[in-house]
Amino acid sequence: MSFLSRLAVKSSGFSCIRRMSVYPQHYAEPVVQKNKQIEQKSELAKLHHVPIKAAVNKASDTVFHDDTKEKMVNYITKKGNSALARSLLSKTMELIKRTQTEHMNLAKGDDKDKINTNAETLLKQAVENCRPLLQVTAIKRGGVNYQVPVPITTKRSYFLAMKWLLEAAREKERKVSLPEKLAWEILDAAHGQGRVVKRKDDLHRQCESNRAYAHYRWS
Amino acid sequence: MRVPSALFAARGRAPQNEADVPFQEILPLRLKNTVSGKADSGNDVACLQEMGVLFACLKDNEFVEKYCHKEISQFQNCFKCYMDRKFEAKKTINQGIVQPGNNLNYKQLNKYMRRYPNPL
Amino acid sequence: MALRVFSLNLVKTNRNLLQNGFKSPAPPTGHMAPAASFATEVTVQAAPAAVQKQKVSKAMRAYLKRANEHDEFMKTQHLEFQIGKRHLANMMGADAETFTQEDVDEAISYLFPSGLYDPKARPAMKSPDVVFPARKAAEFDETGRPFHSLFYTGKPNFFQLLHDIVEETNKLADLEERMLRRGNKPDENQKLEIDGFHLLPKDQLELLLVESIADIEYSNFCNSMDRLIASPYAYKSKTFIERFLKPLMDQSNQLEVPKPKIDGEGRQYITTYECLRKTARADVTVRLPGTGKISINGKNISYFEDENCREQLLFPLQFSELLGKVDVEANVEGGGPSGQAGAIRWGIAMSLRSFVDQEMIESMRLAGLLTRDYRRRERKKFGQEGARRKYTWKKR
Repeated sequence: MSFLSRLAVKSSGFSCIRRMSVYPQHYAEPVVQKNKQIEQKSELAKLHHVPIKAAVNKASDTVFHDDTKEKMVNYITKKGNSALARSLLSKTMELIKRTQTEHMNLAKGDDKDKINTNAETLLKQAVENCRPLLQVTAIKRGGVNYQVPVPITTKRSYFLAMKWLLEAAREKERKVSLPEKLAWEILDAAHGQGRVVKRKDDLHRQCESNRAYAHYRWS
Repeated sequence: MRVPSALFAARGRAPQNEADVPFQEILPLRLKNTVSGKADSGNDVACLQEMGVLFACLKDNEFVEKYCHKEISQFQNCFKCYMDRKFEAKKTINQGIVQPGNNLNYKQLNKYMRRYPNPL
Repeated sequence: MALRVFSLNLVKTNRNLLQNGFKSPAPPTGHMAPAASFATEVTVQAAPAAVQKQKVSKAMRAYLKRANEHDEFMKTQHLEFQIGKRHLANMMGADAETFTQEDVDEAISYLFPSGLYDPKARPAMKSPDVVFPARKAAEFDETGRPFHSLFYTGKPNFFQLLHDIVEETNKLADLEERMLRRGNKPDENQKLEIDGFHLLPKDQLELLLVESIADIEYSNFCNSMDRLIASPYAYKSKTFIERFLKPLMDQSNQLEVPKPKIDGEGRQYITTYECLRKTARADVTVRLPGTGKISINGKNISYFEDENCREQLLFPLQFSELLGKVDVEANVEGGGPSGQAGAIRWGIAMSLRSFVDQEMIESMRLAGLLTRDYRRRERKKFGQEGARRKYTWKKR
């Protein structure tokens, strides 16, 4: 072990961070979307002499590509079977679309226009509604475990929201398929109801009741 | 014959002869030119006031977030600023850049003291 | 006989290479020119008779002895190299007088075919000047008194360089202040352009200085150079700075774009061989006036069952807006569907360079389409559950 770490130190110059990436450190991340390339034109002009990493094998620049969907696929995936996860999510989107169109057709008059039938925006809305603001961490002080409310980063809040949605969808009877349940949960959450939104509110309540310990945190 | 101890106690205990206990300089009588980084984990409590305001608002509105947009955005901005500042500070410290100011990191302090060591 | 002498030279060369293993061979001629300023002739001449009579210090005597030995050694090496070259030329049936180093390399790779992975480990026959790194000349006179004031730092050239950099920086700072007083501003037109350059890497700096330097010393060099370059009047000491800059390669012009060929039907086509990704390997042909036909191993796009893989195939075509305007033929073998799709994607992107303008090539490069993906499956490690994951730790 010591030999390995020494090697790593030697190769990486002065920093002792062991890099695992195949690409050398000066390689830049690719910018796959063309509109993003136009957006960041001035920054990208500096990359004229910098080699770029290869685009990953799920990158694409189509209208069907959506970052939230990609992330969701990653969380659904079990044991690397992302093809299955992708098909499950697309089935979910289809179900959402179907139910929403049905609702729209049943509705009368002005309500018809109010119903959102775009599955992607509904998914985004659902995730946005489930994002927590805070979380509690257990901190041990004087032999007593305190539940201390801590602010969380944006990235983690998105992760928690998607994880909760999936956990709610996986808690089901055997007869119901995952896409069905996930579609229900997403639709519920998009309208600000359902178990996941309640879970978020519960977490906020717990944070509020433990607000006295907020100054305890150090990590 | 037994002498009652109260007789001696009245005079108090005689001081020790200084010659018997010569002074030894076990550790150098000088401050070291380094500080240890152990206690320098830093205080991580940030945005307490914003959090308090947010909690008050949430409690008033039965935990419905849409009535507390202002408080939420304030709280999140505060945390984001805090994280950015922390990241920047870490970067400068890791590069070993010493900035003027009174709250220096242990690495910066060590660098500073190496430049101006205690006179021998 | 010929082979004997020749192989003797080879063996010796290899042995000496081993001995000097820690020093890398002399750099290409490009970097040798500025090295002259650091007083590094290979050796000095043996001491003149007048000096020999005088009292000579021990250090100087030892140095002279070493220098003489080195001279002798180099002389024999040169001689042997010349003889070896003549023999080699005879063996190859070429004229010994006009036998160049390139011919030597070719002959060696022909006579001693080697499958060794590292090119440095393969048999080679090179001029002794290349094989044995340059040495520092004497740094002190015959009484043992050093020439250089920084001799006792052990790295006089390096510290002299730092000294010079700081002097330049101070000069520029003075200039800046004077100009400020006069109310002049630095000339924007002359501003130093360092976008396409970077500082000499550590190993090259070491070769330039003929001294080995520590990592922290190199970082000191970098910091002081950065400070010098950051000055608004840096263009005033352009010649000084340029000695320590190395041009970066223009990434999108790095590989030459091949000219399309014309096939029997009068269509332009480009074939990219050896498109690799994971363990897959593909040959991709793109034909320009086309109808968007795709054939992979004789099948159409349904060769890939996975939706994602199909999307990958179309990605470069869609990105360069040539979808439906070119035909693609690919032969692919090895690997799984994802690797095969990746290999073909790279092949299509590389071929399409011939049919789009320079701006689009740069755009494709920025999107990461023109980079060969070298990532492979990471091996499992012993004592771990997988490549990175550790076993669950249980105290007892």
